[in-house]
Amino acid sequence: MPFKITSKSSVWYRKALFHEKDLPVPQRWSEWVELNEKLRQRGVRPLALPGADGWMLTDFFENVLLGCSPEAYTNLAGHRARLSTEPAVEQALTLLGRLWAPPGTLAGGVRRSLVQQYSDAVVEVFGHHRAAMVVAPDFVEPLVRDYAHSDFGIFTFPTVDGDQVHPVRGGGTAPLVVGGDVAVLTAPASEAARNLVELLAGSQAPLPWIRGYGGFLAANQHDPGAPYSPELRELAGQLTGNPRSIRFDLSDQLGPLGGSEGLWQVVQKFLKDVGERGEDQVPPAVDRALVRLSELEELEG
Amino acid sequence: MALSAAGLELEVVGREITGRPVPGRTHRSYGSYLLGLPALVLTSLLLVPMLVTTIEAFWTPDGFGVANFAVLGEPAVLLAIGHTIAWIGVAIALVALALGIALAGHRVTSLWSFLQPALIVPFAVSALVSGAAFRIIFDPAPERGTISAIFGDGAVWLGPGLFWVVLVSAFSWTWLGFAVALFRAGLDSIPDDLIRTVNAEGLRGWRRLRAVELPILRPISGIVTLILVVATVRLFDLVLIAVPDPMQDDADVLTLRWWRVTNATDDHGRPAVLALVLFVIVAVVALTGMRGLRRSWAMPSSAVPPATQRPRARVRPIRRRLGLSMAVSLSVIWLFPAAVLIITAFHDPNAAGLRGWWSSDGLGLGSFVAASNAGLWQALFSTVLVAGLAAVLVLVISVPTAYVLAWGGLPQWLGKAAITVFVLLAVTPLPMYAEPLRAAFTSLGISGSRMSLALVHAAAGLPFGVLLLRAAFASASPSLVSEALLGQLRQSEVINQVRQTYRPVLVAVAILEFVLVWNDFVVGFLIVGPGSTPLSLVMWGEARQFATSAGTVAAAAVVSSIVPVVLLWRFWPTVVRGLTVGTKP
Repeated sequence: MPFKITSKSSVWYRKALFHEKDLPVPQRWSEWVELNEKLRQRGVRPLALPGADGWMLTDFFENVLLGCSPEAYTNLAGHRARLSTEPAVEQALTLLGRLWAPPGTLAGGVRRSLVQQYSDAVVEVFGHHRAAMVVAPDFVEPLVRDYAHSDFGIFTFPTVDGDQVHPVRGGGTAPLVVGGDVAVLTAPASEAARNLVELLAGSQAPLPWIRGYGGFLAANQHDPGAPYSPELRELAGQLTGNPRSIRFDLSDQLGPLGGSEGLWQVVQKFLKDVGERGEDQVPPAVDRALVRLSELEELEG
Repeated sequence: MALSAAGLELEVVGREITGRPVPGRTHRSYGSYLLGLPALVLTSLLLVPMLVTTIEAFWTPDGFGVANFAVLGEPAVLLAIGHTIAWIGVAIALVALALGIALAGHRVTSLWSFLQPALIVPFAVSALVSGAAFRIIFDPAPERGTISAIFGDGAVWLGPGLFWVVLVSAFSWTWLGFAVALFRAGLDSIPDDLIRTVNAEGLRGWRRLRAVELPILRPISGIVTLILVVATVRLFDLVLIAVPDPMQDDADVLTLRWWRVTNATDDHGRPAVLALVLFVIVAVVALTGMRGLRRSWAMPSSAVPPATQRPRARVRPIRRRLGLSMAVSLSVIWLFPAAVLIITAFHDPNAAGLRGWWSSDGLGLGSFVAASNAGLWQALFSTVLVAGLAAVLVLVISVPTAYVLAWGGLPQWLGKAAITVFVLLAVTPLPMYAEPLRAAFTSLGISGSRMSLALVHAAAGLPFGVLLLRAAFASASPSLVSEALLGQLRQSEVINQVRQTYRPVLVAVAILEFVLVWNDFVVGFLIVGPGSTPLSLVMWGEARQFATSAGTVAAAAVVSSIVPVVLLWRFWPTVVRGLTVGTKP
């Protein structure tokens, strides 16, 4: 029984900064790349990366991958393709590398990024104003609100389109990576357990979280009156009626390969390899990441 | 017997009998062996899983073999083994440092009155707490981290390479004071006669050190080294909390590597090999240490050292003042991490996430409220139950066992073998028994229960308790024993003597077990699971987003440290006396 949904395809940004510098909110990958260049020129670091939380980096990667090819994403999740040999993985890593590689991109530089957790990244952007944006799931909302007060906005993860220099076909729609928490009843579950799950299934059950904490999307989307904040209401709306490619978190479907000893570390090492090192470092770093992935897949059998 | 002639007083000092009395062969009753039965039952909680792990290490799909040992060739594993050995080096260096401090500070009495309490605090708090304190101090953001604020934006503390500074500082903070205190107790126990003789003979400096202090401190050095080496080999939670995720691979030690390999595969063989290697490393260190100790441990103590202050050489005022100011500044430095935790705890979570402890923004009790919402009080209750139960179990079971080992008339080979087994069990690293136990608890449906948590703790703590008590029992004054046996002493007097001799060691065993369990993270985390919710797991849960939860983590750390700090503070002299009672020269 799904209870909580996590929407992982949002970029949280400093609204006043964008307003003051007269910068548009990007919708496509090429616009995002352009925006980052403009920010760097004006002395603002575009991104805070939570490198210490491997799963945050894999979420980032999964968004790009889903943007590149929803089919490849589905095949990988269904264990019908391998990460190390799937062309879309190479493509996604290349795009990601180019986003992270220009000097002056990351708040605190790459070394500090690697010791930053997602909450630190939020504080870097909204507390210390050392960066303009952070890619983070819906549940950072209360934290963002604590530090930004009302000076923040969300845009959806841009649609992958490539640009003139690096043409990429892309999936054509904005990616929407979701995670979730489910309640599971085991076979000999007691009556009380059954009742609890039934209770949690009701549309009223998540209200204490939605009202009390924020940053909570109910899996049961049948209550139009749920007291979401405007931002979360928008994210909730994306879950039901829109044409975006919705997929469940890939790393959660890969077993140990997607976990802290697998994909997390691969993307973390990739960040170490490319972060602020310039675009020419991207191809060798992508190769190394693919080699690591194939080694891990060997180990898994 | 004293002679006095022409103003000269001569005194004949007889040497005390040393060595335990050797009983003649008597008719043995095997009934006393039964006293060891509860210990056997409890330690089987460790022994059976250890056997399972050993079998698993050699078990391959094609039958028994050494194929699993290929895991030792993996670069990550080699790195972890290298780190573990380097940590043992750190432990030995710490012992040397502690010895130096104890020797240097021994003659300045005023030093200790200040330094001692400051040195106890770090030993009393858990690895999670000290890790949290040092992570807060070394936070890479200059707005939050003390060191980053002082040294500017250059170095990323907690980053590659530099996290070693953080880890080694935190580890030294925890253990240095403990080691110094034990050495100091050893120096204090040097008999007055000996000091007078040495002074009369004019032995000084290095020669005096080699002739007097070092030989006398040898048994204590053995125990301190053993305890510290075991602590380094058990390193786990400190690394988990102090080092950010992506750097943890570079900080890997064998216990962590074992945990990672266990999590990464369903294969039991490879992690079992790592556990076995870890066990062999510790076993070698422990057995070598004990060989050097065995003789000394059986030596008698001259009952209880009198609590009165012994006369000391007069110290020149300038030296005294120097010593005093050094003591004050040293204790301030030593208490700094604790102070940072306390001050951080009195900032609201938001303020603590944004700025360092020195900021005056957001002072208040918000972090304590947040910690209490995270289930702190229930965890406190749970921890009291588990730690209390484990301490009682260890005490109740180790007394008869130690009695059998000390005076039970076991054949010599059996006594020696039993002691060796207890030494090995006392240092056995958790990976040797964690997985089979966890699996067994899960299939029995008792994982997550407080009872199972207390049982595992009691089983793990029992060997050390038995060894300590046995050493104390065996070191009871031989004259007392013989006089009691011959009926020359009144019964009440014997009981009184025994009570005086053994009270410290009983208190030491109970207090140490209670504090160890109270501060445990690893057993709760790896074997029993979250259901029993000890304090450390609550802290761990809050520490997941470290910086923005620094206030909450600090508040939880402060609340959870009160009990162990107060206990050790209150009973410190007794605990030290108990720990060293078997090591008196």
